[in-house]
This record gives sequence, structure tokens and C-alpha cells, in this order.
Amino acid sequence: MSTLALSAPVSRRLRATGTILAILLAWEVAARLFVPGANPIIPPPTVLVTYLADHASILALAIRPTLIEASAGFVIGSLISVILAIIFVRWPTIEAALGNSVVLLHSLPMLAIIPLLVIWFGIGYTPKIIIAALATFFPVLNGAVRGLRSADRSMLELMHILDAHWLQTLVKVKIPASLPYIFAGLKIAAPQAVLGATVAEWIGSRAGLGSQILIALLNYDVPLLWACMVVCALMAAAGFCLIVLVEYLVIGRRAEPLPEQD
Amino acid sequence: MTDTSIRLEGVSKTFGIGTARVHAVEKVDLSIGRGEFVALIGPSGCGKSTVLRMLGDLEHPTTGSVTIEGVSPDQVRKKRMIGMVFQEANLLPWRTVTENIALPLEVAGPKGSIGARKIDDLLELVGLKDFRDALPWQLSGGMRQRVAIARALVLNPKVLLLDEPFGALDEITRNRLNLDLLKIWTEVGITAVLVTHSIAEAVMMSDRIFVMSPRPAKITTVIDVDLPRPRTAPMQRSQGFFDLVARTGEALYKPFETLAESA
Repeated sequence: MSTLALSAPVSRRLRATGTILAILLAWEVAARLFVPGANPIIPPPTVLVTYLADHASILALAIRPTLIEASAGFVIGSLISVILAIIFVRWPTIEAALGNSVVLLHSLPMLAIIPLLVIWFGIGYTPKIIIAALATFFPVLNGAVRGLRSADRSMLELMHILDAHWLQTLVKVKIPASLPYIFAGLKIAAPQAVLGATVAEWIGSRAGLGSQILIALLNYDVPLLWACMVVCALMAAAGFCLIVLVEYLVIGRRAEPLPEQD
Repeated sequence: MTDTSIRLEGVSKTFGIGTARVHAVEKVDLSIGRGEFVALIGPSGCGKSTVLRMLGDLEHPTTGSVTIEGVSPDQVRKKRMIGMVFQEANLLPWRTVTENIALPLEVAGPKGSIGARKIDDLLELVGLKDFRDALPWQLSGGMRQRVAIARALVLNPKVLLLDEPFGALDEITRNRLNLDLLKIWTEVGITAVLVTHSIAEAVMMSDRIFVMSPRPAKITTVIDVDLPRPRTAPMQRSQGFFDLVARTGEALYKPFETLAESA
């Protein structure tokens, strides 16, 4: 038995893959049974693949602008969040003054801001990048503020005894301690940036996945709608996976392995 | 034996917790000679750690004066002449043993690191040569404290402050680490102040024991530990050792016993 037993990570991966395959299979069977027809509104996965293949050239063109907007917004939003978090932690009076405004900014309905941004900045990349940055901003800021405060008190006292400059404490203690929290925020933010950019493209744009979705909707082109949705979801998931990979490269190899949990 | 390294004169400390005022330390006078090993012992929460933290410039006395090597703790700290070991090893978890020991060197910069100890020598001294590239989570609690001791010594400080450094460890490990610490202290020749609530530990380690009362902390008794140095493990089973433990215990528990009698 023990010679046949798979090592824990392999068996876990197999289980995850098995679940996905089972869902796809169930979907396939259900769609074929209950939604028959040439271009069903709920296509089975095998038909979805043909949708993707049929629209490959359109999708390839649409991915580029969305990818640029989402990545630019994500990077800008993350940088601003981390810098703001450092300012908040260094000068708590600024946090007290600005904290509520940040929550307010996060609470603004996206669909209301987008038209305004289009009026201000036109229908180019700018409004989409701003929306993607806004979507990134809050989870990363939250994680960074919490993370920068997560360093042990006695560690900070040690830095005091060593007469460390606050920048040294920031770089050597607080920022490394904050990384797991920042990455947690980034993992939420990466898909949000993709989805934010896509939604922003609905209003005033000539290119991108969002604009293709709108075109498909207006033309009642269900296959294109599905194809755009799948690509959009894959992009958001890829963003998440990319952050997981970067996290592993930055902190994974030095972190204590998590205990096996079953 | 030598001239004074640390001097406290009429030191009191009052904390304000809400509207309440807590007298943590009251009128403590003590002087510690250069190269001396002293222990502060007292019941939990009595304020002995506060005294140590004042030496490390982590707290400031409400009244009275603290001087180390003739100057204020603030100035001593800025010259990086204080090494401190906390109850938790508080190592940076993403740094290896060597990198953790190097932290003070990085903070002090090349100028501040003149006269610093070699990391290799320190690894040898604390017996962690084979673990130089290990990460803290790969080490036992005792080993982590050894790293913390090496880190505290790397800038060659004049004073070593030990805040219950082995308090979280089991007695057997603690005993071994204490003997090692004594060996290190002998080699380094440094003024050491140990806060502890273990009587045996205080007797084993120190030249003098300052017994403190429950809050507000006052020094009630000073016990000269006349056991010869170097201290050895068998000494802990000698009559002289037992007598000192008994005397320290008597001084430590007296305030509670008189309280019980009057109740």
C-alpha cells in the first residue's frame, strides 16, 4: 500500500484536476441533454472550444488592449497602494486624515465613474487603466498596511537598540514582513484588474474584450459572447497564477512550509 | 573588582493606564561593575523587565537617572554599545542564521562596524557552525536563542541585556544554554544584566543577585554569590549552591509570607 501511495502534493493535484474534469463532463452531458440545437445558449465545453477556434482572430485582436490596460492599471495601482501604505504606517496622522476618503473612493460605483472618466480622458487607454488601478488599489492597500504593521514589537525594539534609521527598519524588517500580506492583496487584485478593464471597455472604447462583449451582445452573437467570457476568465485566472508564481519566487523558498492539512 | 559600568540613582517609573497610574519601579539604586554578571530576580510583572528596558533606552525613568559607562542610555545606544536578547529569539524568519547575525552590521554600516566580531567566530562561540545557512524555522528554540546571543554580541557591545532569554525553554535546555552563556561571557568579558524568575538560574549565573519586591519594584536584598568561577554543572549540586538558593528564595518570598500572615 505504502509503495503505491502518492506523495501528498501529487495526490492533491490529481484530485483538483479530477474535480475540474468531472465538472466539465457533467456540463457536457447536461448541456447536450437539456439545451440542444446548433448554437445553444448554454453550449457544452466541446462546442465552446469550437467557438474559441472560430473567433481566434477576433479574440487575438481583443486581448491585446485589455491586457495592456489591466497590466498597466495593476502595476500603477499596486505601486500607489504600497507607497500610500508606507506613508500611512510612517505617519499615522495622515492615515487618520485620509483613511475615510480611501474607503469612500473604493465605495464609488464603477459604472458611474467610467462615463465621467471617458468625458475627462476620452476613449483611449487612460480611463480603463484608471479603473483597473482603482480595482487593484484597495485590496493591496489593505494588505500592505496590515503587513507593514505585522512585524514583531521586539524586532522593532531591537532595531531601536541598534539605532536604526526608520528607512532601515522599513527595508530590513517591515517590508519583508509585509510581503505575504501584500501578495494576498495582489492575488485578489490581479483578476479584479482584468475584470475592471473589461467593464471599463463597455463604455466608450473601440477595442478590447469588453467592447467585443458589447458587440456580441448587440448582435445576439452567443458563440462570440461565450468565447469572450472564457478568454476573460482565463486572463483573470492567469493574472492570479502569475502572482502566485512571483510570490513563490520572492518568498516561497524561504518560508516555513505549511503543515499538511487533511 | 572593576569600576562602575551601570548606575541607577533613585530611579522610579510610573505608567499611566487610562486614568490609573501604576508605579512599576520605585526608587531603585544600584551600580554594576564593569564585567560583572548580575541578575534581577522578582515575581512576575514586578517591573524588573522595566528596569532592564530602561537600560536599553526602551523606557525612560519618570524620575532619577540611569547612566551606562558614564552617559545616558540614549547616547550609549547611539554608539551601539548595548546588546539585548529578548525572551523570544525574534529572528527575521526570511534570513539565514548568518544573515540574522549580520543584521546589526548592516544597520551600523561599515563605519559603525569597526571593531565588530567576525561572524565565523561567533558561530563557533555559540556552537552553530554547521547551521550557518539554516533558516530560523529549521532550528530548535534553544538554537534560535543562540543565534540571538550571537547577534547581540556582533557589534562588540559593552553591556549585554538579557530579558529572560531562556524563559520559554525547558529546564534541561535552559541549563545547558546557561552554562554556554557563561562560557561566552567569560570569553567576551562583558557587563551582563540578566532578568529572570528562576532562583537557580540567578545563583548559577551571577556575581550578585538583586532581589526585587512585587510592584512597585524595589530592591529588597542584594546577595553576593561567592561561588567560584568558572561555574560548572556539578556546582549546582553543592551545599554552597543550595544555601544561596535558600537565601535568595527567602528574600524573594518574604513579602508574600508577611502578606499571608497579616491576612
